[in-house]
Amino acid sequence: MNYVELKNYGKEIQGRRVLNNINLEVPQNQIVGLLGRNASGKTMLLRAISGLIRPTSGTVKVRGNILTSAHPFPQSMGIIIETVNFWPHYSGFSCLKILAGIKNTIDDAKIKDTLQRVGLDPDDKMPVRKYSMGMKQRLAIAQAIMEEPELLLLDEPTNSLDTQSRGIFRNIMLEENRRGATIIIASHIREDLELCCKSFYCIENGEIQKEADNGMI
Amino acid sequence: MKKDKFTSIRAFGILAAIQFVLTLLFLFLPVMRSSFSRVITFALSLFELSGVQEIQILKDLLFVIFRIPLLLLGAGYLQSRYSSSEANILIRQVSMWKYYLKNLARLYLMSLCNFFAILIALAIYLLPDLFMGLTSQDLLFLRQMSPLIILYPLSGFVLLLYVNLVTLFTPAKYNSFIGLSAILINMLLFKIPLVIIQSWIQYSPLAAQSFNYIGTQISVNETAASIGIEIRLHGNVLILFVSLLVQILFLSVITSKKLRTMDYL
Repeated sequence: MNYVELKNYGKEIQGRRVLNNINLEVPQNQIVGLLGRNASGKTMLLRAISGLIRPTSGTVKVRGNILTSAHPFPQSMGIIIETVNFWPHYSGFSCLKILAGIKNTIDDAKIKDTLQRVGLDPDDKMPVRKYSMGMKQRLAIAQAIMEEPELLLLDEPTNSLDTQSRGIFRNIMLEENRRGATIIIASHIREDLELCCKSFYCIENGEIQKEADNGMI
Repeated sequence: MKKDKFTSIRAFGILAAIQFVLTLLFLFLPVMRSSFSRVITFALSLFELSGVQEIQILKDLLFVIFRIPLLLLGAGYLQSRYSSSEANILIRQVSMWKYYLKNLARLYLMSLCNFFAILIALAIYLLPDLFMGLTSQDLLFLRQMSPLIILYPLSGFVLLLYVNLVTLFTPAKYNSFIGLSAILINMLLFKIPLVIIQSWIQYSPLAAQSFNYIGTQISVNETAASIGIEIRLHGNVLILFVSLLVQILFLSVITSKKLRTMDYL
């Protein structure tokens, strides 16, 4: 069964074609990579799958349901798109608690457990504004996975992560995949995708191709 | 969600503090008032306006100062709440309709904070007079102005809705410009001698600008004759209130329709 399915998806913004005739099928419980240069359309494609942008043509199906303006977002989704905004004056735990409070499906223990998984101290009172870039990125990963979503869309998730943190990230992705999550990771660095992706697509000028070309990067 | 609400209140508190300091500076520093007055008078002299017109325009400009922090900080609020930088909040919403209403409530809260900041600053300025005791004329003046407690924040909210609606169609870099334009358009509308505009303007959010006259101790007769407070506040206050509610409904419907079809970039 395909968890994510895009059919003839096209998107035009201010007269510019940013995604062109995208046909993509991501089977359930797969880790798929999107590989492409800067401004090739990776982030826009993740926005399309997440329902943040509306199609000019074509459709997006997630778990068999077409995304519409009445139901724009997939029901169970974790996301990192570009830089994730947090509340700078609160600790990492407080920020996650605010976000978790929207759906109210997990408790404090689960939030603390997630913070530990990404290598952050759940009892650390340091405000997020004092976090290093790597810590912010780990917090962003934590907010995406804490509610155990069925779909994870991650845009450049390994940005600012050191070698050790990349290892942690890889293990988390494999754990999430074992749990049953379908994961799509976008990056311009092939090695980052090779950390955990079983297959990956190459995207160029808003068009998608099966398999990335090594010489492209 | 308590902390999220607290964060918003803190942001609006900053807006209120800016407004409070600005109003106090204007009230307590004659230098600021006189320099402002001189600059404006000089600018107006270039257009060869009469003294009466100058005073009217000065009052309008005072009103502009009172609105600047609100419209500059509030311009594009909805736009920023529906962007992909807020994706982690957006995708968690169980009901987008509730999220939309919550954001509208925050716009109103913004206007309310702005209003009370002005009110407190004015109260501080008038404190010595209040200790001297209120005359019957003062009480009448306050009674005439009392509907503004509801109308002023409501009108600020409607202005923000207009500005926010425009920003949903334009790039974010123009937000401040659109906020400022709203104030200038407001001033210009009063100067256009067309019956249709002057009729409409009495029921627009701009009508609550008579708030300017709070703190100006003038006789009741003069008040009624020169600025029509008797007519506006006794004759049209209810229509103005209903008109503002209708505008809120109208703008909310258009805004929500736009938000349902726009891209959250």
